[in-house]
Amino acid sequence: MSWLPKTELNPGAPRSTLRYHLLLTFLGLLMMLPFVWMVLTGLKPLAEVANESWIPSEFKWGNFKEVFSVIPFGRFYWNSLLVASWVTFLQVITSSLAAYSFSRLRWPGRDKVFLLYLSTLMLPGLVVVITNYQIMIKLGLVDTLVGLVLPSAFTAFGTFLLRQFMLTISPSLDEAAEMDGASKWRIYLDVILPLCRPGLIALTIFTFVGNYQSFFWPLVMMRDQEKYTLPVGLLFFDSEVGQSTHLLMAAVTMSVLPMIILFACLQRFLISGIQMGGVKG
Amino acid sequence: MKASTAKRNRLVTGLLFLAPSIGGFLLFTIVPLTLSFAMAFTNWDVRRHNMFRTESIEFVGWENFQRLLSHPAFWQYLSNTLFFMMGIPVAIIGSLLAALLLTKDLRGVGSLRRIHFIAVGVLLISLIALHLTGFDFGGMKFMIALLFGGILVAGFLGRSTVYRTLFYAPHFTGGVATFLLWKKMYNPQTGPINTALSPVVSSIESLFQWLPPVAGPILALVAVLLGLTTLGLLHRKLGQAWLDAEAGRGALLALGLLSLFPTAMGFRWMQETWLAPLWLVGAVVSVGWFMARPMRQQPFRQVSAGFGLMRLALPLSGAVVAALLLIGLGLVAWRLPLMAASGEMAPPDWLADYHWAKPAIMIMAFWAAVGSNNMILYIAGLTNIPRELYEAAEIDGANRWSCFWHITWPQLAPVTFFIVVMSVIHGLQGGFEMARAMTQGGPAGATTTLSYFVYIEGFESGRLGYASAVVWALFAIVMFMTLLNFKFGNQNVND
Amino acid sequence: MKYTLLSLLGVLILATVVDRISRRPDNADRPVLYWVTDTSASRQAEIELFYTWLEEKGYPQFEIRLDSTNKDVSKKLIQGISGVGADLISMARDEAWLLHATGMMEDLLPLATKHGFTVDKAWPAISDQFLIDGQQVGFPRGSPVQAYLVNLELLETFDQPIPSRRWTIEEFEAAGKAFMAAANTGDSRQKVFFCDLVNILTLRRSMGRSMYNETMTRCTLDNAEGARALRLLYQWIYEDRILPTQADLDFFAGNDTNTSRIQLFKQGRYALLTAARYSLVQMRDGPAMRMVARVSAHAGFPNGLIGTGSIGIYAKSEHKELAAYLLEFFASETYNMSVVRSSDSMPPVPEYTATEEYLRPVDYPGEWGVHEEMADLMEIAIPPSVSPFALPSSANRIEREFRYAVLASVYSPEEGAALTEKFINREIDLNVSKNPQLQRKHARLLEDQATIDRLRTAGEPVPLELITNPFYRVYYVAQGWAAES
Repeated sequence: MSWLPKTELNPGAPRSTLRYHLLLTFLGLLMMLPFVWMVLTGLKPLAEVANESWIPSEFKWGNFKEVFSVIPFGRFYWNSLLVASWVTFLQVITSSLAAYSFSRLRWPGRDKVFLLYLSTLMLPGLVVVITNYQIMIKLGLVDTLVGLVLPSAFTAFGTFLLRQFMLTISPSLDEAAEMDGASKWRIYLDVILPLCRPGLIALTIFTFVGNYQSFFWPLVMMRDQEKYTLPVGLLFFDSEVGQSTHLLMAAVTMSVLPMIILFACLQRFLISGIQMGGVKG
Repeated sequence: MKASTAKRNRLVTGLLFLAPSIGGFLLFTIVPLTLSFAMAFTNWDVRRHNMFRTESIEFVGWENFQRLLSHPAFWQYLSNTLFFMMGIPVAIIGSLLAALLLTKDLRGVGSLRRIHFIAVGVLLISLIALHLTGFDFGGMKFMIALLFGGILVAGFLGRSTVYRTLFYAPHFTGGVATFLLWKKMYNPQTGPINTALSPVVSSIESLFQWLPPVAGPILALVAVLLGLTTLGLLHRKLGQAWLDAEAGRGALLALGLLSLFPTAMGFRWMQETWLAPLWLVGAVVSVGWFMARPMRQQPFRQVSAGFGLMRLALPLSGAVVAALLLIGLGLVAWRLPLMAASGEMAPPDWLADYHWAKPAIMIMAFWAAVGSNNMILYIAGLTNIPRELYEAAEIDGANRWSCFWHITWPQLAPVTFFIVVMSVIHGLQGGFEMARAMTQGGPAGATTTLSYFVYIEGFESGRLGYASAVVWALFAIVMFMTLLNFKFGNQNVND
Repeated sequence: MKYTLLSLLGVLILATVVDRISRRPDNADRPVLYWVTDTSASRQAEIELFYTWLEEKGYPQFEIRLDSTNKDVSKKLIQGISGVGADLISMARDEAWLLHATGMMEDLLPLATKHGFTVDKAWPAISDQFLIDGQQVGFPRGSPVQAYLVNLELLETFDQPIPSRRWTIEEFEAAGKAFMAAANTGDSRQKVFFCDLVNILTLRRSMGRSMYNETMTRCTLDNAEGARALRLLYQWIYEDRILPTQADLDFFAGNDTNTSRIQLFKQGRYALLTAARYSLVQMRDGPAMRMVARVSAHAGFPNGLIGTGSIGIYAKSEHKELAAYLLEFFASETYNMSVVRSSDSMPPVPEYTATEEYLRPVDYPGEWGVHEEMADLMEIAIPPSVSPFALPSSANRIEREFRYAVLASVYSPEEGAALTEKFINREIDLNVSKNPQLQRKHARLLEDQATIDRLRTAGEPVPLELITNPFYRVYYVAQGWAAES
């Protein structure tokens, strides 16, 4: 998988690999520093939050438990996970179907419709919030799980992304399958989709992380505290609960865990499993 | 008859695949958008046109747009938005580099037992020491060592998974949490950034008090010369591209114009000093020598006018930003002796300081952008490149740089295209949540972008008709940019 | 791949079902009202007290749920105009104006008369602030007055005198410089400041100038006082260094609870802290400090600032009668005495500040100088001037932005003042031109303004009814320019 000519990278030689590890470790550390600060602040007692030193005088693991008692954190967690999972699922399925339509099938008006899809990405979501909200009221979906999921599940982002990925797959594979008598649906399912796996995984990660962190729409939609998602719920801490920064940081630390786990598990699928050797011309 | 049936069949198939997506899309995206478009031409004001009031909405035509253009701060907000977008090329290059680093196959442990032991030893010692001396400043050093060792070991064991997760970590704390986090980090009195900078700034201050006052201008001169070198290299590359038929006349013209941008800005920033004419002259000479001269010759092959524009635009933007950065540093260096003499040098006040607010946001944006979605896309894209291409190139005797420029970069074109389009779109629309959570658009409007302006107008004042007009004006700009991207960027994408 | 996707779908459906089942069913035995406000611990305690009071009075029992993710006006606005607002809504003064203008707030006059929370029960200085266009929009749950908390021990450590009760800005400057010299000897960087901030509104008003004219039809900042106020601020921060730079303030003032500033005050970094009575709640946590309260220094006309937040009822609420009980509670003795004891704010009904419990709380002798002075201050406290023609949020934003720009030396004080006035007047013109109703009102008031100007130049007394600006109503009487009526 390395893109360097073989002569340069000698897998057995310790020196270049160690240097490499050191470099990555150093950079990784830099990237992580704000994160580290956050975790450590979550372990401090409140009075020390404003201190210069990063290290707490005592590691208050109790902060993590306290978060659960101050706000219904577990509930928020569950809500966030459920909503984000649904949105991701719907987004990936519908986008891949639509992307296939835009990249592989030829039908009249295809590119114009695609441009339409694309152009909707260019508008900031703010102004449609009120109209969407009123649609939700008419549908009776305010303050519900369904209402949170629906508007976010059908954006053009996924379609655009997957279309670009599908464009990198050589058409000759399609032709070969068609000559074997496969229908468009079969081609989609058995040829394109597996080849697209890195793109699908990437989209899954993006959509999940993006929706997990989305703030404004859940803020507007939800009234019942029990149904809040994490980003909205975390606001409890920065407002008038005595500004408990330590609890806020502890809460944020806990809230990023699903994303880390998801990413760590999925990231190896970003690498395409099948080499397309020799087909690209 | 057969042809049109076939055509209709294709249409039906196409639409069938599109169906699941388009249903929701129409309802939740198109309908509100159309309504908002209509509203842009009315005087919809939430205070007067709602369920409690009986006034009717009036059509006002272009009035909202006129008001927008005559809003005194509109141009400031627009330039704020564009300023933040200047970081895009750097961010893309950064995430590409990160992706490159992260896709190398890492063979780990094997015969490195000694390193292993040392790392574990450092870890254990740091752990014990930390517990004993928790609040000592020395604890910081232990903590850093502890982390370093920990990551190193984890990296050996987990290889790329660990490093990739680390790099993507900024993205996890995304959204409001990131802004709150950075807001606390930028706190001038208690935030870690200024705490760390304080001793550094003090030592710089003492240094400059000790040096003669001419040290400042000398450093500034050095910075300007470096900036000129950057520009020169850039122009040389462009001239070379002309000769190698990698770029057409139109493309080079556009790129040349783009490179005038740092010239003009630099001149404006430095106009109080004697560096300004130096800069100007240097830049003009560079353009003339490195670009105009080669362009008199004919390339060995004719290419279309716009060819190569997008391919070169990215490195060029990177160079432009680098040059501007150098000039900025030069200006700071120029003023250092003066600041040191007054004895009051302190780390900047970041978000609260009118002049430092935007750079502070840019730094944060860069941190977030390197380990972001773009990096993931590049990782996925890089691993999609067939190995055979590299093997073939190696046989032909290509070196590392050639491999990258002629194989990797073009193969990444569809991904790059996507990233550039989305970055431009996000750049033009962005800044809303950041402003809301961190700066409220201040100080004095320095961090208000157009989308935050929409929020203020629409939600805090209730003038939704006007806000819609701003949104659609913004859309026009974004559409324009995206079309440009499509026209000039699409050539490397097979379709 | 097919199987992965199908099994994922199965898991999701299962999870949704579990989610539905596990939701706590609403106990429909009592009506539930939602109150949009903040959820500090004291709010919860208030609710508990409220339930007890309901029982004592024999009123119908019901539940109030606090809905508080934030005090975001946009959320209140969107929900309100879409018909799904909360029953009880807490509003800052600026918000009250905006929300009332949409028509989503109920006119409380009939309910108030019935339940006894009419505006005459509140502090006289602000009672008419709860009336907009003749409708009562809310009733306050507390009326904070802004003052400095003075750290007596810190002043004594550096041998500095206690500021006098109505001190001038010259005294302020001198005291500040003396304090800074004494407290920061030998330090390269100042660690202790005399006070944390100076409110430019009271400063300007003490020069006799308000943000708007007497009828609040135009902004009036482009003048000597407007520029002088900005210049003084700049001087005190950057030249005399008796105030910390804007940078520090931004971060502390940006959050609603002044926790960080209070921590610094407790650590002895400020001699004077801008605060209100609710800050004492945090001061009580920890070692007792001896303090007094002092109003801001004045440049001729001493004045203080009083807050006008209130609670209102949503026009589409289904439980208006029940909601009115909460407002009645705020006017009751039970509530007011609990505020007196908890020091969460100034009690909304004035008479309770004359009690011994208020003036000299037994457990906190260090605070005696604070409560008494604050009650005293209510005599000279004036609410902020809010013009019906310029959205307060916009006007405040403009003023703040130009003030910061002046402090960052982007503009001179004169330029800053002139630009602020220009922009705010532009806002006024915009609002007026768009709204025929407002236009008529504006035209009418402009005539009144012309009358006032004529009378002033001729040196004749001006009838108070013509003046709507709360500052000038007080100022004219004090200067003897008002007609006897």
